[in-house]
Amino acid sequence: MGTIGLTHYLVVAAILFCSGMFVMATKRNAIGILIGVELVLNSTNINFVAFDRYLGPGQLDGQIMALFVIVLAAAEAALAVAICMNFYRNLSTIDVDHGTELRG
Amino acid sequence: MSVETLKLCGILILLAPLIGAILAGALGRPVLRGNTHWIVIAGVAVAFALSVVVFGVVRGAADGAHAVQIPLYDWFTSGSGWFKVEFLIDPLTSIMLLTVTGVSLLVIIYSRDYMREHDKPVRGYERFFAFLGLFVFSMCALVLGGNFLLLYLGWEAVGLCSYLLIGFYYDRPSAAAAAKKAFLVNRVGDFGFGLGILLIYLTFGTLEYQAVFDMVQGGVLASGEPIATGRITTIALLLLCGACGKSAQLPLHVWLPDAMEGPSPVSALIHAATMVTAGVYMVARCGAIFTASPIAMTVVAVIGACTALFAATIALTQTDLKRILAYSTISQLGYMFLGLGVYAADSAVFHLFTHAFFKALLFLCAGSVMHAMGGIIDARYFGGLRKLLPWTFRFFVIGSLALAGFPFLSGFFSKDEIIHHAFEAHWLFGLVGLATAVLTAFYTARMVCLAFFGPERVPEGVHAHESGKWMLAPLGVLSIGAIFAGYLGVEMFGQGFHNFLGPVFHDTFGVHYSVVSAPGAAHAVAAAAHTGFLANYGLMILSGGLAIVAIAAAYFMYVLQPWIPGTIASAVPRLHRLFSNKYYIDEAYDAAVVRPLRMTGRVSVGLDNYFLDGLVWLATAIPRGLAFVLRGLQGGLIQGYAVSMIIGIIILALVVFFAER
Amino acid sequence: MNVIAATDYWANIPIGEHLWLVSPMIVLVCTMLAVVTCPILLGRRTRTITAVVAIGVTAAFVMAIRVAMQVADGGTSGLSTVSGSGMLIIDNLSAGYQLLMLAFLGCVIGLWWIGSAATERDAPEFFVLLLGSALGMVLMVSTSNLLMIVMAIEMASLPSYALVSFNKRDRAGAEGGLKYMIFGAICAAIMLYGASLLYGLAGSLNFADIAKMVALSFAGGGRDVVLVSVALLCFFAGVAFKISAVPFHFWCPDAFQAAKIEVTTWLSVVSKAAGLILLVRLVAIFCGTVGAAGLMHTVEPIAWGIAIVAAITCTLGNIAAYRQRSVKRLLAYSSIAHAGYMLMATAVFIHPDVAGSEAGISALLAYVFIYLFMNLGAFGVTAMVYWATGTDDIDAFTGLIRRAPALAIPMIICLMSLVGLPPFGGFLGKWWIWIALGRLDSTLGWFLIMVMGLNTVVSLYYYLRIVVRMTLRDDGQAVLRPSFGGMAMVNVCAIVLFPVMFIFANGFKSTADHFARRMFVPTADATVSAEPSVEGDHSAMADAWVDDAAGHNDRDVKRP
Repeated sequence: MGTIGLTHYLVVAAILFCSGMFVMATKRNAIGILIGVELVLNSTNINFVAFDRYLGPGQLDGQIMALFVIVLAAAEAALAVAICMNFYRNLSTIDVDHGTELRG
Repeated sequence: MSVETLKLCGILILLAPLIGAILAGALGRPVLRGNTHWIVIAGVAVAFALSVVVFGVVRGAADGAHAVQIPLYDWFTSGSGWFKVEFLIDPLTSIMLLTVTGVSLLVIIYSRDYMREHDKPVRGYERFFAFLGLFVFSMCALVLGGNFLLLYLGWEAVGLCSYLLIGFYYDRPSAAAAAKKAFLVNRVGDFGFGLGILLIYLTFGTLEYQAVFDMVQGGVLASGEPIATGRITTIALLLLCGACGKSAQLPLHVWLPDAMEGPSPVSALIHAATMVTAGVYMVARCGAIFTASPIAMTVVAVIGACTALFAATIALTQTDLKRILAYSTISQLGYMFLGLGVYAADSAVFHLFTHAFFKALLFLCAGSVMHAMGGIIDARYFGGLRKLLPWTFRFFVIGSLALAGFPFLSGFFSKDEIIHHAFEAHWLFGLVGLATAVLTAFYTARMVCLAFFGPERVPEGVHAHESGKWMLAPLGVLSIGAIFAGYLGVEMFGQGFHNFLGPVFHDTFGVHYSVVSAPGAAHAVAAAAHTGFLANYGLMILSGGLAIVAIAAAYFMYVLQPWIPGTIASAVPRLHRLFSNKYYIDEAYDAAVVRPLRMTGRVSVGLDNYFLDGLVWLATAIPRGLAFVLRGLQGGLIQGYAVSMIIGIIILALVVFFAER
Repeated sequence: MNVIAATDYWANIPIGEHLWLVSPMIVLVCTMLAVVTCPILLGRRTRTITAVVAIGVTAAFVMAIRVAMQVADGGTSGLSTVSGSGMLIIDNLSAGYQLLMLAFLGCVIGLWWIGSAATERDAPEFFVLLLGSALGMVLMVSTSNLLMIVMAIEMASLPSYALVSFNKRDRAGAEGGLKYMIFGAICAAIMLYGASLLYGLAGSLNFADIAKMVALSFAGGGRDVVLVSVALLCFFAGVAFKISAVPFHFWCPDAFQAAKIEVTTWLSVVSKAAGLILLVRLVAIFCGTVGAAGLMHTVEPIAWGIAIVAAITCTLGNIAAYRQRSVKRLLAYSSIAHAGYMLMATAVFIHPDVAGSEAGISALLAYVFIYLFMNLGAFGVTAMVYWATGTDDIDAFTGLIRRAPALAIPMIICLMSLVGLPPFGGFLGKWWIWIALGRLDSTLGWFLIMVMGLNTVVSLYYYLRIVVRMTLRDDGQAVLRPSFGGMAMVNVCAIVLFPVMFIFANGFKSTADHFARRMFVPTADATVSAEPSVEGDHSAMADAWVDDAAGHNDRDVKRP
C-alpha cells in the first residue's frame, strides 16, 4: 500500500455521500432523513478539507468552508427538529409518509 | 418655433386630463364622490390653457416653419424599424386642440349639474367624469400624434370611450344595444382603417406622417421606385373607410343616431363636436395621400354630398330632438367631407370649428330641455317651452340660427364657403350643397317650433324648471362662439383662420387651386374676392335668403298653420314613410347583414359546441392525460420526491455523460 | 483570491464608503435585532412590532436608493469585485434587485397586515424570519463566491422553511414545511457536495475561476469532463431548487399551497427572483470568463443541458397546472413554468455568439422584472379573495367581475400577462426572450422557440379558465369588500403591467440592455487581471492531481 493520498479521502467522501443519499431516499422517519443529510454534509466537509490540504497549500478557503458547513449543519438541524416537532404535534408521527395531504 | 415649449405643452396636454381621469377613477368613489368633477375640470382646464399656449406658439412661428415633428421617445422596436412616440404640431393640430379641449371643458362643466338629480350625483357620477377625462386624453393623443400608429391608437381609444359613454346607462337595454351597435359599426370602418395603415407600412416602410407624405408627394419610395397610383388610391379608400365609420358617413352612419342613448353631454362632446370629426381631421391630415388620388377625392366628395342631403331629409321627419340633431350632425359632417372632396380642406376644417360650437350648444340645450322634461326628449310630448325655459330657449335659438345658416352667424360663413367651392368643383355638388342648406334651415326651424313655440305642453307629472347656472354658463359661452366664430374666416376681417391654416394645405389641397383658380392665390375665397361683387357675394346672398325663407316657411307651417305638415305627409305618404323610417337602412342592414350573420352565428355555435369543442377536448386531452400522470408523480410523498429528484439528477448526469462520449 | 489577506489585515476591514454600500443589509440586520429585543423592551404588541419593522424596511429602502445611485454610473463598485474573491459584489444588478426586493418586502408586509395581523400572536418571530430570508436573498444576488452562495442560499431558505410551517396548529402548514425543509436540506447537501468538488477541481471558491476550469475541461485540455459536469450539476441543484426547475421543483406546489398566502407571495415572487438573479450573475460570469478565453464554442453542451431542463420545466409546470382547483397551487405550477421560460433565456447566453448572450441577459432581466409584478398582482388578488371567502378554490373567483371589479380587472391583466398575450407586460417579456432565441438562429434557438410557443398555447387554457370564471360565470356569491391598500397594490401591479410597460416598452428594454452590457464589463476585466493567478493555481493544481494519481503525494510534509 502506498501512502494515503487525496484519492482515498475522496473515495471515503463519495461513499459517505452515497450512503447519505441512500438514507435520504429510503428512511421514512424525518429524523432519519436528516441524519442522511448530515452524512452528505460531512462528506462535503471531508472533501473540502482534503482538497484544501492537498491542492491549495497556503490558502484556507476549504478549511473555512468546512467550518461554515458545520455551522450550517447545526443551524439546519436545529430548525429541522423544530419543524419535525411541529409536524409531530399536528400529525402525532414523524413518519414523513403520513404527510400526503398536499398532493396533485 | 420653440420646440421645447411645444414638447412640454404637448406632454402636459396629454397628461393633465389623463391624471384627472385616473384620479377620478381611483379616488372618485371612495373619497371625492360628488366633487369628482373638480379634478377632471382642473385637468381639462390645464389642457385647454396649454392648447392656447400651443396656438400662440404656432401662430408666432416664422413662415415656412409651420409644422414641427417632435420625437418623444422610441416606443417599440419591431423587425425592421422603430416605432416612435412623437408629436406633429402644426396649425391644424393647434386648431383641433383648441376645439377639443375648449368644448370639452365647457361640456364637463355643464355635466356637473346635468349628472345630478335633485342635487344628488347620479349613480356612476365618478365613472362618467373619469371616462370624459379619458376621452379628452385619447382625442388629444389622436390629434397630437405624429405617426399613423399613434393616430390608430388614439382612434381606437376614442372609439372605446365613445362605447363606454354611450353605454353609460348600461342597465337600460336600449343604451347597451346602442353602445354595441356603435362599437360594431365602427369596427367595420376601423378594419379598413387598420388595413390602410398596414398597407402604408408595407408600402413606405414607415408610419411617420412627414416621411410618408414626402414620399407620396415626391412620387417615389425611399428605395427610388415610383409609387403606383393604384396603391395610393387603395390606401386612401381604406383610410376613408375608417373615416366613414368614425364620422358616420354613408353607409356607416347608422350608429350615430342610436348613440344618442348616451347622456346629452356625451352627445354634445363626442357625437357632435369632437370625436365624429376625427374622420375629417384624418382626411385633412392625410391630404397628401388623398389629393394624390383624384378617384379618392371624388369618392370623398360624393360620399359627403350624398350624406349631407340624405341625412337632412331624414331629419325633416324626426320628432326626437336629439335624433334630429344627430341627423343634422351627420349632414354637417357630410358638408365637411364635401369640402374636403372639393379641395377646400381649410373650409372643411373651418366648418368643423364653427360646427363644434353651435352643435355642442344645441345638444347641451337639448340636454337642458331633457333635464327639465324629466328625461323626455321627444317633441311629440311637449311643446311651447319658450316661457318655461327662457334661457335655454334663447340659447337654442342662437344655436339653431347658426346651424340654419342664418346670415351673419357662424354657420352661415363656413357653410357658404363649402357650397362656394362645391360649385367651383362641379355644379351638381354645389346644387346638393344648396339644397341641403335649405333643408337644414327648414328642419332646424321646425325643431325649434315644435319644442318652443305653440301652446305650452309638458309631460304628465313633470315639474319643468330652468337649469342652474352650472349648465347655463357653458351655454352662454358656446352661444357667443356660435355667433362670432364665423368671423374668424371672413375675408372682411382678414380671413385669419384661413391664413393660419393655409400653410398646412398649401402643398396638398391648395395645389389644386393654384392651378384651377386665379394664379398665386391659395384660397378660392381670396381668389373670388377679386372677381367682382356679385360673383363673390351672390351665392352668399342667395343661400342666406334661402335660409331665411326656409325658416319662415317652417314657422308658418308649424306654428301659424299647424295643419299643413300633416296634409303634406298624407299627400306623399310613401316619401314621408321613407324619410321617417330613415330610408329603411337599419332594416336593410338587419336583413342583409345582421340576420345572415346571426344565422351563421347559430350554425357556428352548433359547430362550436359539437365539433370544435370536441376538437378542443381532444387537443387538451394530451395535456390533461399528462397532467394526470404528473399528478401521480406529485403524490405528496416526500420520499417519492427525493427519489424522483435523484433519478432526475442521474438522468441528467447520464445525458451529459453520453453527450460527451 | 484568499478569504483573508495574509499581509495587510486592516486593508480589508470595510470602512467609510464601503460601509455605506452594505448599509441596507446592516439596516436589515439591525431591524432584526430590534424586532428580537422589542418584545422585551416594548412588549409583544403586533402594532408596535410592525411599526418597528416598517421603519426598518423604509430605512433600508432609503439606504438602498442611496446605494443604487452610488453604483448607478460606475456599473460595479464594491467591497470586492469578481476579480477579487467575489465575496460581496455591489453593482447595478444587486443594487437594483435590492431596491425591488425591499419594495416587495413592503408589499408582503402590507399583505400580512391586511390579512393576518389581526390574528397573529407571534409577530416578532414572523418578522425575524421574514427579514432573515430577505437578508439572505440580498446576499444571494451580490456574490460570486461559492462560500457566500451557499451561505446566502441557506440563509434565505432556512427562515423560509419555518415561515411555511409558521402556524403551529395548521396540519397543512406542518406538512408543507416539513416537505420543504427536507427537500431543501437534500438539495443543499447535494449542492455542497458539488461545491466541494468544484473547489477541488478549480482550486478556488470564486466562480470566475471555476468557469475557466469548466471551459478548459470542455475544450479537452483540463479536468475530466464527466466529473466536471457532475460537479456542476450537483452544485446547480441548489440554485435549481431555489427557482424550482425540474427535477428540483417538487417542493414548490406543496409548500406554496401550505404556506400562508403572503408567505407564498414572498416565496414565489422575491425568492424565485433572487434565485434567477443569482443564476444570471453566475452565467454572466461564466460567459464573460469563457468568452474572454475564446472557449465559448466548447460549452455548447451546457447550453443544451440548460435548454432541455428549461423545456421540461416549463412544459411540466404548464401541464401540471391543468385541473388544479386551488388557485394558489395553480399559480405555484405557473411559477414553475415561468422559471422554465427564464431558464431558456439563460440557455441563450451560453452560446458562442456573445452578442446573443447580451440579448439573453437583458431579456432575462426584463422578464424577471415583469414576473415580479405579474405574480405579485395575481397572488395579491388571490390573497384578497382568500381572506374574504376563506378559500382559494377556483370557485371563489366566480363572478368576481361583479363582486369586486377592482380585483377582477387587475387579475385579468396579470393572468393575461402570465399567458403572454399582447399588449400586456408579460408579452413583452416573452417577446424579448423570443427575439433573443431567434437571433441565435441555431437548432437550440428554434427548439426553444417551439417549446415556448407550444407552452404558451397550453398555458392559455388554465389561465383563461380563471378569467372565464371571473367574467362569464356568476353564481350569485356575495360582493367582496377588500381593503383599500390591497386593492391599490394589485392595481398598481396591473397598471405597471398594462399601460405603463406598454407605453414605455423601449425605454424599459434599453434599461435592461444597459444592465446587461454592464454585467460583462467587470467580468471581462476579471478574466484579464485574474489570468496569471488562475493559470498559476491551475498548473499547481494540475500537478497535484497528477501527483495524486501517481500515488506519491507528500505535500503535507513539504507544507510549512
